[in-house]
Amino acid sequence: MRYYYFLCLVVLVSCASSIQKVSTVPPQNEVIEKVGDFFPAFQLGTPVLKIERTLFKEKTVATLALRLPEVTIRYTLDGSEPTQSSQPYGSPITLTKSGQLKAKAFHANYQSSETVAATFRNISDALLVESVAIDVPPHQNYTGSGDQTLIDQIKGERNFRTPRWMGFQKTVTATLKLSQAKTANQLTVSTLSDTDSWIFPPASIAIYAVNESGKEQLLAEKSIETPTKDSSPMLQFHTLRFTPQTLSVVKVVVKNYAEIPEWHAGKGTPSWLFLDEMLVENR
Amino acid sequence: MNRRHFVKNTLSATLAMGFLPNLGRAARQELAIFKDVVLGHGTHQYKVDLNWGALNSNYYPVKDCHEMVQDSKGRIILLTNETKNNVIVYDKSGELLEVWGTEYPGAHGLTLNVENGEDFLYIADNNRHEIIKTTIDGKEVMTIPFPKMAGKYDKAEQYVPTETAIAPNGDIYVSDGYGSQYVIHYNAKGELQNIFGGKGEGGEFFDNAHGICIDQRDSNNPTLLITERERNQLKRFTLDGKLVEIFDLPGAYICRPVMDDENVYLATIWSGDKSPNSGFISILDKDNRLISAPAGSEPIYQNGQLQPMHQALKVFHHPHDVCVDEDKNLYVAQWNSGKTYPIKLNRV
Repeated sequence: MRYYYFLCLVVLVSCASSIQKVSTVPPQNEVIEKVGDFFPAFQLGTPVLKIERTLFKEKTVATLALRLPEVTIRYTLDGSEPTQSSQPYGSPITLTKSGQLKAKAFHANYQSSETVAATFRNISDALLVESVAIDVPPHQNYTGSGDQTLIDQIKGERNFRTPRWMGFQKTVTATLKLSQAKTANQLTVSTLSDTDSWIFPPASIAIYAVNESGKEQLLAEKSIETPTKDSSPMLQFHTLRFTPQTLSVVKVVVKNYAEIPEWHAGKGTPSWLFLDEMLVENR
Repeated sequence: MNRRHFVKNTLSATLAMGFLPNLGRAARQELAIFKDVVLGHGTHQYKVDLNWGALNSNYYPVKDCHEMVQDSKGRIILLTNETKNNVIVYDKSGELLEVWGTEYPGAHGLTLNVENGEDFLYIADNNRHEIIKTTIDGKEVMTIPFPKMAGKYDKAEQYVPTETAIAPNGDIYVSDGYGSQYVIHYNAKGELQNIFGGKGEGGEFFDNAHGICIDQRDSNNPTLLITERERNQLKRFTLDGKLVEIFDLPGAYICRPVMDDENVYLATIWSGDKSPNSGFISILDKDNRLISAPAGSEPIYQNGQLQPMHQALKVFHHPHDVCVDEDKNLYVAQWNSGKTYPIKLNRV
């Protein structure tokens, strides 16, 4: 019993003085090592890439920036990884065709940067869509600029809290009415993947031609790859090709995940689906 | 994970992704090693000490290193949300002096105030939804719970305080940066005086009122400086909660304003489009213009407007606070950065 009181006393004393003095702790120097010995130089920041209009009819302009002295930004337009011998960036780049721009910064004293990439599309082949009807309302915080957001031919950016984006927590069915019946052979749905913000790409997309009597015919369908834990946020174009058809009304079913995947902090809850554009094209 | 492992992982990831193409021995020697790199611009330039304050994480782990202050004895005090040791006290060389604190799971904001010659700490705990005032060695002297009496809150969960600031008269200001966006004003005893801000679109409202401090550069007219992180703005309010002016820092997600002489220092947790690991440090002059951005792009004003900022060098991941010592060296605490210890920037 005396021993028990003694123990209590020790506990009380150590609680009263919650500060651990360093003299009582183990040495720590074995863990510290000079970092520079095996990884000598900092990496450059990623260049800032801005494209005036991602969807354009005649031309658009891309600019690149990394405001650090003696930096060279190099870029490619053929999808290849930029290298020391790629085209150096000097002034804004005029783009006329669909494609992808990749850029990377180089400097004599630092590790070269990560690659920044963006796709852009010439949509002069896109058919004019007269109207769009969506079967479910978007979430009140992410209403875009109304249903027209999906056919205004303006791409949203990485920031989804803008009038360019519509956000849903359900499967979305959009019915597009072309201004006149025309031949088309592909349809593109533009979405955002940003899993840190609980925004996922669609699980799948299906498109149907709707004839005058309202009869539907499946044109194409596609499953979309589920992002993994390590996926970076990205703007996505999902293109579905089909046999050329004369179309006047198209129904697009963009299926949302019923539940966020197991690896995510939001698992089991409905995921967010963000849409900003749908394009019907003949190309 | 300690810094050594963190850096190694970064290296292997970099190699795996092919970012070191055929760097021969000669090429490698041309690269500037960490300690020779000079960061920042103009009058505020620094050399980097990545090893400052690194500890054995088996004994003294950190999670997010949220904030740092210097006490009257010149010691550097770090607040982390690791409840094994919420407070880690260093000397300026980075030697460990003592640790304390195990009951602050949401340890986020750390402010030091000298009251009748004695140092006190104010901890904003965003998990406990309250402010805790302690002595410099960790004895709790006051707790301010969620401000139900202000009439804006139904439950504690709506109140997620990120920062405190103490006025010359002892009044306490709390910014609810992760909660309902109010700024709550108490007297020194913790009695409610005023509440302002909240969510909304106008200048007097906030989207992440993350940090707050008292600006005494005009000694006759102390005011509040409040960071609005999501909108990349620094806002000046009167002590009774009226908006005075707004300073735009486009591309800079600023955490809390730290006053030192005529300058304001701001850890910048992300830049540009909020890409991960894109942080840097922002330093403002007496007129609140950006004059130096260690690890950030050169500050350029055109027609009075700061051009959008971005990270220039990957020195930091997510800086969350800056502490300035009497020699004008900086200590940078980081959020979500692989459980690494602070980085010191030595003024050159």
